[in-house]
Amino acid sequence: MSEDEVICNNCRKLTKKSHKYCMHCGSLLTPYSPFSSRETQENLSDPFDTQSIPSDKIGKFRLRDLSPAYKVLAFFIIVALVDFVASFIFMFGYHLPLNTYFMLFVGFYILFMIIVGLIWAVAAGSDFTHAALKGCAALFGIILLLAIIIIPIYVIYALPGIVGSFSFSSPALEELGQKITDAISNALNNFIESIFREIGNNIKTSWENAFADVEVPGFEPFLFLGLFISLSIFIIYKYHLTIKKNRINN
Amino acid sequence: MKKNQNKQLYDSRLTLQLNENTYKFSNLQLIYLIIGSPLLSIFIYYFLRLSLNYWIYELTSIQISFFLNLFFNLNSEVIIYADHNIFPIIYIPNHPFEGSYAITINCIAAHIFSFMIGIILFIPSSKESYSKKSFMWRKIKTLTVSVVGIYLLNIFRIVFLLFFNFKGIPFEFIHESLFFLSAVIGALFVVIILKNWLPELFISIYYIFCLISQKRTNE
Repeated sequence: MSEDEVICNNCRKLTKKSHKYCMHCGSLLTPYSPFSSRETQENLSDPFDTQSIPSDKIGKFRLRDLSPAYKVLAFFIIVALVDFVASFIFMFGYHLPLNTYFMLFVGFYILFMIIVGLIWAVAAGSDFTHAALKGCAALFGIILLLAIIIIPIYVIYALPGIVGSFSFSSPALEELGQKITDAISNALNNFIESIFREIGNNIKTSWENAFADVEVPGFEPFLFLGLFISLSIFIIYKYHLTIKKNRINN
Repeated sequence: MKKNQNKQLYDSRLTLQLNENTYKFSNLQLIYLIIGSPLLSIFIYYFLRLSLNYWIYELTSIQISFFLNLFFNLNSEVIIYADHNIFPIIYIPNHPFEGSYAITINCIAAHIFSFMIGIILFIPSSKESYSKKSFMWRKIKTLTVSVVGIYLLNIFRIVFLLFFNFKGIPFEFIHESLFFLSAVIGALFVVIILKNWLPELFISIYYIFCLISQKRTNE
């Protein structure tokens, strides 16, 4: 190596000092450093190199450090466990209060989305505990929201019955109370029932019309397509974070 | 002159770079993907329903019966009808329930096959990084492996479904349980294969979004 030559940090070949860019790889020439950015990145990406792991992280188990094979395995174990738990619940005589597959599909889909979301959070490299907490918080929020909506409706629905169960000392008052509670009860019953019947009928008919030709049993197409679309969206989002966009103008 | 103009127009198109590969798609290919693949999927699905494809139902039923007898020794038989409007039936003797199962169009996963073939055939090729030959080879590889994989997965799903039903687990219950598992495994399998061998599918969808957003910002 003569005095008018330098080592390129990128390709490690000798190139003339007077040049701004490397003659071999075309990268910008900077003073040579044995710990160039490329080398440091290579070292960090080596999972078996414990030297590059910060001292506070050594000995700490982190899910994101696992190889993809273990993540996939963990995913299948979770899915299989959920499936087996559901199977055993059914075997012991519990049946969902459903007579259509629609709600079953929605339930499975939501459950699966939560699992995929958590697994994906690990794969994306975010902190698993935070992601899990966020997922659980979201789930808790949904349950809370449903409770806020459903409990008042239930209370209103059951209130006339509760009022009607009170005993009055006078038979005339009792009869009057009964009539009032019956009237409220009937009105509310009719009102709520008609709303739900209307919504239910609309959903049912639109659902049946949309897929009249498809038999529900089989290699469930909607679940498959739903999963395919969700996973594709995740992949596209990952590309969105890493892809470079440019317009080449000649 | 016109050729040069076209070349200039093509060169000025949006380019996406991912892992040292450059992707650039033509409008026509993207339109084919959006419109062509659903149409082709529907066409394949209805094509599979034609009586001339009765052999697929026969083949699936015979293979299911073969595996049932091989693994579980159930002495199952396949009943094939001369009238091709009636699907083949797998009959299992000494069954606690009915013991006969018709193999219908949904049992052979026709939806999934038609969807996959429709999508894979219309995936656009990038004209920058890869040669046409390598792209076609990757396409054929993806198509073969995904179709064979899903076919086998479906066969074993039905084999286990019939076996567990024979063991006394209610059909509806075991059917739901296995469809969940098989759909999850199947979808993951196809997505992983596509991501590794034909990432052009996801990149082209992203490319469409980029083109639309660029047009909107230009306006």
